[in-house]
Parts: sequence; structure tokens; C-alpha cells
Amino acid sequence: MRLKLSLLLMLAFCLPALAATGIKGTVVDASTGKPVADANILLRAQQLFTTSASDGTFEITNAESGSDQLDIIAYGYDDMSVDVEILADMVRNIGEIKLKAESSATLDADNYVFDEDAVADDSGMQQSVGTIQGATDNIFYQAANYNFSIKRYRFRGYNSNWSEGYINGVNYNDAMRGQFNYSGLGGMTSSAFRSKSSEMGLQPASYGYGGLGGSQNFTTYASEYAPGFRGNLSYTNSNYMLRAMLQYSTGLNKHGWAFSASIIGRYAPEGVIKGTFYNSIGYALSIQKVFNEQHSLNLTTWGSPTERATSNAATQEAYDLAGSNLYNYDWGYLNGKKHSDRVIKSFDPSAMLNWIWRPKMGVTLNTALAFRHNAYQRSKLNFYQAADPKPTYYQNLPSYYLPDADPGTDLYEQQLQKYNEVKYAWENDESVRQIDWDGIYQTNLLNRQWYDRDPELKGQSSYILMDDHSDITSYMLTSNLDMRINDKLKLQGGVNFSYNNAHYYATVNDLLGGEFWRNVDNFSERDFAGDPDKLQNDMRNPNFRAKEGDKIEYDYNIHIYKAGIWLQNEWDTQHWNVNYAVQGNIVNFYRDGNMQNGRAPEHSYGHETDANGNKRSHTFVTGALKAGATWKINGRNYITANATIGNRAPLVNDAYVNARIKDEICSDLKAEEYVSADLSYQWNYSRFRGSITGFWTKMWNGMRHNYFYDYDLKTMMAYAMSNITTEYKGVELGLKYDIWNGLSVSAAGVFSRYQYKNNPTGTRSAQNGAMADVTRTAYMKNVYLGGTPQQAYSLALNYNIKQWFFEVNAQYFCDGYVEAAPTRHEEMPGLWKFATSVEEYRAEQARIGAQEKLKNAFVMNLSVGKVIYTNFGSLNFNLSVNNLLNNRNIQTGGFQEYKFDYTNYTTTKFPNRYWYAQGIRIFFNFGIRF
Amino acid sequence: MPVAALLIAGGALLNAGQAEAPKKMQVFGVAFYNLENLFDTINNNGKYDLEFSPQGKNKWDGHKYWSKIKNLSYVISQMKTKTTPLGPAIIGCSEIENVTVLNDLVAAESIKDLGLKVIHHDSPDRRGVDVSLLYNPRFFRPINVTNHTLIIPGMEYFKTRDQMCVTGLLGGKRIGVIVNHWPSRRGGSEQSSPLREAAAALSKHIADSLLALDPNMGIVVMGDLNDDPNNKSVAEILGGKRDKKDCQPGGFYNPFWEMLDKGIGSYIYRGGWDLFDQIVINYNLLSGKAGLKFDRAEVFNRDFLKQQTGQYKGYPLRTFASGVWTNGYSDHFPTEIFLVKEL
Repeated sequence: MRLKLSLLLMLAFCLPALAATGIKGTVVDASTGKPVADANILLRAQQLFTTSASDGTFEITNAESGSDQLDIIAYGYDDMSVDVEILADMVRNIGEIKLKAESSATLDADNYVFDEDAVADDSGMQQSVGTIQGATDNIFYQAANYNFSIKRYRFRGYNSNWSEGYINGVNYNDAMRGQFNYSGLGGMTSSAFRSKSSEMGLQPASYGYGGLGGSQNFTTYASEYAPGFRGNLSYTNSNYMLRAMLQYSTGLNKHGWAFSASIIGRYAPEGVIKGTFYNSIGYALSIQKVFNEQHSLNLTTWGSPTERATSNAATQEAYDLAGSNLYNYDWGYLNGKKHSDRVIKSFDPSAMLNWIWRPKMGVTLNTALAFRHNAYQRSKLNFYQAADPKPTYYQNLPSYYLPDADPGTDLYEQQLQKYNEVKYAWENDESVRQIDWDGIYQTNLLNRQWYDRDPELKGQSSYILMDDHSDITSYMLTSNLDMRINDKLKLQGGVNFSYNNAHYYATVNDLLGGEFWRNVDNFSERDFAGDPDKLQNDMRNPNFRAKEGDKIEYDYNIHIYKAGIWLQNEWDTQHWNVNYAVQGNIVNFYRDGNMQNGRAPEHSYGHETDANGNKRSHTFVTGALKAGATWKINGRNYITANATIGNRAPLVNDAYVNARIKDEICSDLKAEEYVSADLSYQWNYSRFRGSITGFWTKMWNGMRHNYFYDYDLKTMMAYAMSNITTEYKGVELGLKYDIWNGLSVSAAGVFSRYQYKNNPTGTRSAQNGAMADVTRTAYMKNVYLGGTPQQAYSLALNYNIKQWFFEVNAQYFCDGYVEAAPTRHEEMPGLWKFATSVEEYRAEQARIGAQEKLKNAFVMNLSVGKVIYTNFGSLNFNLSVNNLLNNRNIQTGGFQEYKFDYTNYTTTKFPNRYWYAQGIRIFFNFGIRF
Repeated sequence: MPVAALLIAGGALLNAGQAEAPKKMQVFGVAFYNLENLFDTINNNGKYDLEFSPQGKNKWDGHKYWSKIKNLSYVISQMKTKTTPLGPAIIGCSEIENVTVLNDLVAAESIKDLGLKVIHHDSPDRRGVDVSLLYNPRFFRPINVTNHTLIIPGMEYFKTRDQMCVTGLLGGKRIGVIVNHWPSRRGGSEQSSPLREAAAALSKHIADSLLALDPNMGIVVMGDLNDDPNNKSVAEILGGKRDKKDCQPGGFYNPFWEMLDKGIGSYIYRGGWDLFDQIVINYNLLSGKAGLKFDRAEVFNRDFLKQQTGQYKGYPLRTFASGVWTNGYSDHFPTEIFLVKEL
């Protein structure tokens, strides 16, 4: 204490003794000599700063001696510098510093001075609000896409033909069925088709009008791939086992060229379902030349030749007997190897040239010319005057042998014994459950050696493997404009044209040891024994003995011309985003037959002509309007509403009563109509974000088309359902909460109802011509649309740390229904045998039409991933385990049989059939990028 | 009801009385823009610079470089308002490699007529990026520039961007501008927070020493702070207040805090807005004591700066996205405040 005090005293006495070192002076106006106040004076090297007082004087007293530069900067005057020499222990006076008035006095020019009001106007400018509404950040959409897919979840219950898929701005929904063929991308969604834009529901897209169910645009411009190699190797125990993928991209080089090549292979000698296999190669090449800032050309070609064996839905009886819900009856042992009768070969190659023209900033005109050839064939067994070879044919199943005699009688005992034998064989002998290829070959062989019923038919196969083909060739021309008129307004629009030639035919794949297959309708023969013409599939070539590769049964083309135009505006202001769009389409199509069918000799070969001899084709002109608005309450809360009304041409695939036989369209063929609206609230707080959306949609004049085997008429039957009204409504919720650094929880759910809302019309058309077409009403009102769960919920926990990613999630699905068969909802006069009153009749009808609910399902998934960045590139691996709890009871779909027991009116003769999901599914992926 | 009517009428009368002599004013824009790796094409700083050279991962060649210069200069050319017809008087920048790129930027066609000048200094930063200041000499005249290296005791190896302090005359009024690019959130925002707290303390220290020279000086602390206005570094260490009324003499007001609360951001991380690019002002600019008075702040989030399509629609349109050259602007939006001087 004492010491400190003395130190202070010493300092106090010493300080005045030290003389200050520095400089002082006065700053004056050179012309007037008046002092300049508040000039900034800086001793540059020593970084000492002071300002002049109101009399212009200044003083720096804490400098060090030496040479320095004094900078004088004053408002209204030119800068000035003076070299100064500072002497130790004195504050040198350098006298007057004369500043010259600023030579370039632009500052006070009128241009930059404003009235208070003008400034207030500018201040009134509100901050514009930026919204994040992309697909990546839509939590519901993410969950629906990834976590609900196990249950074949369909967005808002719509068929996939209500969503539009584009590639580089060209609509790639096929012209016949109106669907985007995802498998045509060959599994390259993480390489060549990595870049995509997704719009949900009625959200506006910049590349096209889109659909009710949203739209997606994949882009394959070579310059838009990250340069370098990308390789992946994966193992999974699903429909394929191994996947290898490689991509190399150059990025844009200095000469304006870019190139990217991808190749992928997927392979399984046997998939998780017995008797299936998978072989697929995919390729994609893109090459782009950027000529200058305005013009670039991009050429892309891709395809993925694939061969795979599939499985089919079976009845629960068959699954239970086989002891597995993945039981597949579509194979049998042949020469000791599993051999499938259901093999799909597909190849959907495309080539596309895009000319991208950016005449000025914010304006892009993308014009594309595309060629596509979508070839698809699927094999199946066919048989003639022989037993149905399918193990699950109802007469081959134990249930067919359930005793119907009175218990206690001998007959009952015999029946019971037979039933038990068949059941035992089904449960214990795999060969009974599978296709008996050896038996098939043996029968065909016997036909060659011993056939004595008709010498004409000696050597004919009783069984063949045949292929149903669908080859669609398309030429497309599209031009889309995307233009920013100003910072608030965008204009988008485009035109598109396409010509599509869809060729449908069947061929003999394998005679299975026989010598030939006669091209006649095997079902007609029974009914028209005396009319040799009527059973001909091609009267121009009667009783044609087809060899392997020859065309049989049907052969026709459908030519489709399409043209469309759309226009869209998007306004973006501080608090509102408004968009509206309009589209118009015209579709024209006609059938051109290549066989003259005996059941419709005048209406099958060539094309129909009208009274004037002109080609008869079908034209539909349709249009639609949509509008949407987002009110950005602020950057954290927005409300969005969308609405649309429109119609679209019927899908060509559904337009014909029985295109395989004749050129006849459904009698009440009209454009489908729809109205849809949704309303959502979205919030985005730093740790909590999400959205809740309500939607409602109604569609009219829907069509559906199906084939089934009619056991009473013993013929294939085409069933065309038309005039369908359906309704879709529900609420979707998605939210995410960041709990702590990298740990987050998200939840998603949908509660909805998808139903028929009227009693549509159904038309049966017998393939064998045994009866005239019959039209009846199907009483379907309030029946649920099948498939997709109408309630689905998901809860996920995510953790990211140091390039590790963990996720565990759980899903619960309920209110899924089997697809209802309209045939079960018709008036059934024969049912009166079992009913004595209207009430009883209605009760019976309700029993027959009852729509089964699919089982509720609980699923858990787990995934782990890690990315390692190294000097040469990055490595990543991820492991995901789907259906962690190995739930083998997840029905992914099911349907009522169209065929029905019109004798006893039971629902057990042709029970519902189901698909099931596999148990645990592992997916391990190792990737490398450099 | 009659009382209310009277009040309204009275208010109208008062307004009419004031409207007689409109005041003359000048407005100065003070902006900040993270230019997202504005590198030249020459590799002279090892690993990080290699990326931005024709041989590197990004194939950073002349075409890309000049496109980037063109894009960024276009942004600056669009930052004009009715009362700032020449755009911002001052633009603080971050993520620039050297003075050459800035000279190229200000000489670009769309803004060369503004005659912007460059103040730059090379930082010791590991990535070789610096902060800098562009200014329009019509409105701003620099007096002095000092650079302040952030040294963290016990972490001598740690190198980041220097803080640049520029004093000068903005419309004749002395202000100090401290341009920052605080340490990133690498390793987690909480784990790395002490680094930014230290940076905030350094900024505060620089500001305090300016006030010691001139207690009326207007001080602007701007930059990519890698923290949001409500984080400890900005809100507590620097002391940028959310509400004007809470700002005391000697203290700071952060006009971007309330904006972030309303969901306005300049940068997106995992689907949520951040507002890292802040311009914080001291009490003297809020009260007008500095001769300049704060009027308003803005995030310059114009539509053309955003991705128009794709899964990241609405995100800032970057130069590179997932390794692909997207020929955009930056992953940050510029921010700006407007200071008014009454004549």
C-alpha cells in the first residue's frame, strides 16, 4: 500500500518534467484564410490521429522523433500531405496549412440530394421476404418419398398418370398410359439423372404446366455434372443383389465442351423372391457445346436394356400353404434349374438434342428434339386343349377339394382324404407348388408322337411360352420459354408436339418341344366349331402355323399425334407470390390393324373409315387453368392456396373396348374432368419448421381397363370401366425440430380418403366373340380406391456429426384397401336364387362387394452413413436396413378378382390376391469420388 | 368516437404544419457482401488456391473467373435505390483472394462508371481469403486504415481473417467501418463459438479505441460474422441490441436481429435462414449524434440472386453447387443499411 502510493507520487512529480514530442499547426482555407474546423489530421507512419479545433488549430504531443508524413483530410477540401520532421522533446509548430477547396465537388450536386419525402418513400420500401419452398425442405414430401414407399404410397391417392415427368423440359409421360417410366432411367438417379427439380401438387414449375400430382424435371446437361469420377458399389438383398455404377464428367472446358458418361449394372442370379432374377445395364452419355453466352447445344442419349423375372400376386391360401408371403408360383425346375415363365425384357433408349438460347439475362429458350423407342415384352404360358399349368389355378389348390358331401358319409371321407392329400402335397412338395416344366415338355412331345385327334394338329404345342409386346416409338419437339420480365414478374410457357406409334403384338417365345402353334383363338374353337373363319386371329393367313418368333394372336398399331401449349405468370412481391397458368392440348389417335380378326373381320384389319372414306380417328381438345398464391406473412410464416380446373383426353390405353381384336372405342369416351384445390400453412423457425396442407380433388369421366378370364364363357374378357367419378381429400403434415447440434426429430403424416363417388359403367367384351358386348352399371359409390394407405405416419430421428449420418425411423400405415373389382358391384340376377327378399338380396350383394382392408403395418428403418474427405477426393459408405423388425406381414397391395363364381356366388372360389413386402432389406453402398 | 375523430383531425393539422418546409437530405448506403471465394486463376497459395486454378478441382479458368466478375458486378449495379442512385457508398467484402480480383471487379463493365475504389490488405488466413472495402469516392473519403489480427491465447497456430478498420468521411461525417469475416462454424456452432466471441471482443476493442479519439464518431461493425444476431458473440460480447430503445451511448444496435426473427435471412443452412451478414451500428449513428442517422436496413434478396428451379429453389444461386459450376453469384445475399444526413 505504501509502496503504491509512493510510486504514484513519483509519477506525478516526474510527468511534468518530461517534455512532449510532437507537432502542431493551424488548418486554414487557402482562399479565404478562415480556419477549417474538424479537419482530420493523421501522422501517417506513427498512426497518430487528431482533429482541428474550431479555430483550426491542432496538436499532436505523443509522437516520437523522426521523419513522417502528415495527412490533412477535411470535408469540402482536397486531401493534403505534408512531410514533417519531428524533433525530440518539443512540439514543433508548422504554422498554417492551407487547404484548397475541393475541385470535384460532386457531393452536393442535386442528383444526390433529396427531399425528406423522397427519403421517406425509399424508407417505406419493405424488405422482400424470401421463402424456402423447394422439395428438399418439404418434410412431408421427403417422408412420403422415402419412408412411405414400402407401402406403394401414392401422392394424394392419384394414379401415377396424374404426375408429369420431364427430361430436359420434354414431357416423358408415355403417350398410351400417360405414365413416366422411372425404370427407363435405368437406376441412374444418383448419377446421370441426379439433377432434378420436383414440384409437389399444383406448385408451378418453370419447365411445364405440370400435373395434379406434381411434376419432376430431370436435367442431363453435360456441363452441369461435377467434374471427375464417381463410382459406387452396392449390395442389397432385394430384387437385385449387386449394383455397380461409374460416372465420369469433364465439366465445361475452356473451349466450351463438356462431356459426361455413366454406366450402371444391376445383377441378381436370384432375387429375394425365389425364381426371379435381374440383369440390367444402363448407360447415359451427354455432350454439350457452349458456343457463347447465348447459345449452347446438348446431346444426351441413354437406355437400359433389362431382363428380369417377376412374380405375381397370390391368394392367402397359397401363401399359407407355401409357408411364405413371398411365395412365387411363376417358376419351376427345368434341367435342375429354376426357370421362370414371367420374364420381362425392356429397353427404352432415347436420344435428345437441346438448344439452349439465352438471348439476354433472365431469358432462356430451351428447344428440344427427342427420339424414343420404348420396347417392352413380357412372357407368359399359353395352352391349348390342355390343363392350366399354373400351380395356383383354382382347381389345383386344396380349397377346390374341400368336401361338400354330408359329413359322416363315405363320399365325405373320400373327399376329405383327397383334400388332405392335395394339401399335404402343397405343403411339402415344392414341385407341386411350382410349374411342372417337365410335364409341359412331355405333353408337347406326346403331341408330336401320338396325337390322333386331328391329323392337322399333330405336333402342335399344347403349351407355349409367348411374349406380349408393346413397342412405342416417339418423336417429340418441345420449346419452352422461361423469362424474367422484371424482378417481380416471370413469364413461362411453351409448345410441344409429338408423334407416337405404339405397336402391340404377341409372338411365340418358345414352343417348349412342340413343332408349331396355330394362330387361332383357342377359346373360340369350342364355341364356333362350325365357323372356321371366326376362330382365326388373322383371316388373311388362316390356321397359320407359327414358329418361334412368329406373330400370333394380335398385331396392331395405334398412332397418336399430340400438340400442346402452356403459359404461366409468376408474380413475386414483398408479401405475395401469385401464379396462374393455362394450358391447351389436342390429341388425335387411330388404330391400324395388321391382322384380320375372325371375330371382327370388318373392324380389325387396317383402319376404320367414315362414310366419306376418310380415316376415322379420334380427337380430343382439352384445356386447364390453375392459379396459386402464397401470402408471406413474414419470412417465418406463409400461407399458400392453389386451385385448378380442367380436363384431359382419355388415356389411349383405356379408350378401346378391346383393341387386340377390333377398332372400337368405348361408347361414352369423353375427356376426363377435374377440379382440385389445396391450402397450406408453412412455418420456418430456426429450430422448428413444417407445413400442414389440406387438399380436395374430384375427377369425372375416369376410365379403367382390364382383362380377365371368364370361367363361365371360357374366354378372355376385356372389361372397360368408364364414366368414373372419384374424390380425393385429406390432410398432410410434416414437421421437424432441431433438438441439439445435429440432432433432429421429424414427423410426417397423412390422413385421407380416396373413394369412388358414383356408379360407373362397365362394358365386357369377350375375346372369343361368344357374346355381344354387355354394358352394366357397377355400383361403386363410396368404394375406396385400392392400394395406397389412406393413413400413413412417420417419425424419424436424425443425427449428423463429423460427416457421420444416422437415422432411425418408424412408420405406421393403415386404411389401405384391396383394389375393388367392378364386376362384384353389378346387379346379379342369379343371386335371387339365394335371396327371398330385397333385404336379403342387398345383404348378399354387400357380402360379395365387401372391400377388404389391407393389414395395418408397422415398419422401422435404420441407416448409417459416413463421408470421408481426403486429398484426392471423397469416400462414402452407407448402410440402410429397411424393415428392421423383419415384419413379413406387410401387404403392399391386393385386388379383388374380376372373375366371379356365378354358380354358387361365393367369394372363396376366387379370393383376393395380395402382394407382400420382403422382410429385412439390407442396402450397403460404398462410393468414391475424385 | 368524436374524441378519436378529433385526434385524427388534430394529427392531420400537425402534419400539415410540418409539411411546409421539406428538409433536404442525403442518403448513403453502407453494404456488405460475401463474394464467395472470389479467387483469381493463378495458383499461388497451396492447397486452397489450387482448387481455384485451371488445374484444380473447380477448373477455375478465365471463362469462369470473368463470368463471376461479371455476375458480382451486376449485383452491385443493381443495388441502386431512388435516393442512392449510384448504389452503396461503401461495400465491405469478404472471401476475396487479393487486390487484383477487386481491381477487376470495380473495372467491370456494369459498374466501372461508378469509379469505385479499393482498400485491401492481405490477411494471414489459412484459406488465403481477405476482407476489403470498396467505396465510392464521391461519398466516402478514407482517412486511415488499420488491420487487426485475431490472436487467440493458447491457439497460436490459429489463423483467420484480419479485421479491417477504415476511418473516413462519409458525406463529410467521420465514421469508422470495421469489416469482418469471423471464424467459421467448422466443428459445430457451439464448439467454435469461443473463436467468434474472441473476434467480437476484438471488434469491440477497435470500436472503443475509435470512440476514444472522437466520442461522436459513427461506427459500423459489418461482416460475415458466421453467427446470427442472437448468438453470444454478436448479442453479448459486441452487444448489438435487438431493439433501438435498448441501445445506450457507447453501445450497439443490430438492425438485422429483428429481421431474422421475421424470417429474413442472407444464407441458408439445412433449410433454415441464417443472417450471418450483419451491419451493426453504434449509438451515435442511431441517435444521429454522428451527423448521420440510421434509416433502414435491407437484405438484398432479389429474385435473380436465387435458384429458380430444382430442389433448392429459393436458395442463393451459388458459383458452385455440389462441385458443379452453376455460374451464380454467391451463397450469401448482400446486406445494406442506409444512413441519412440532413442538410
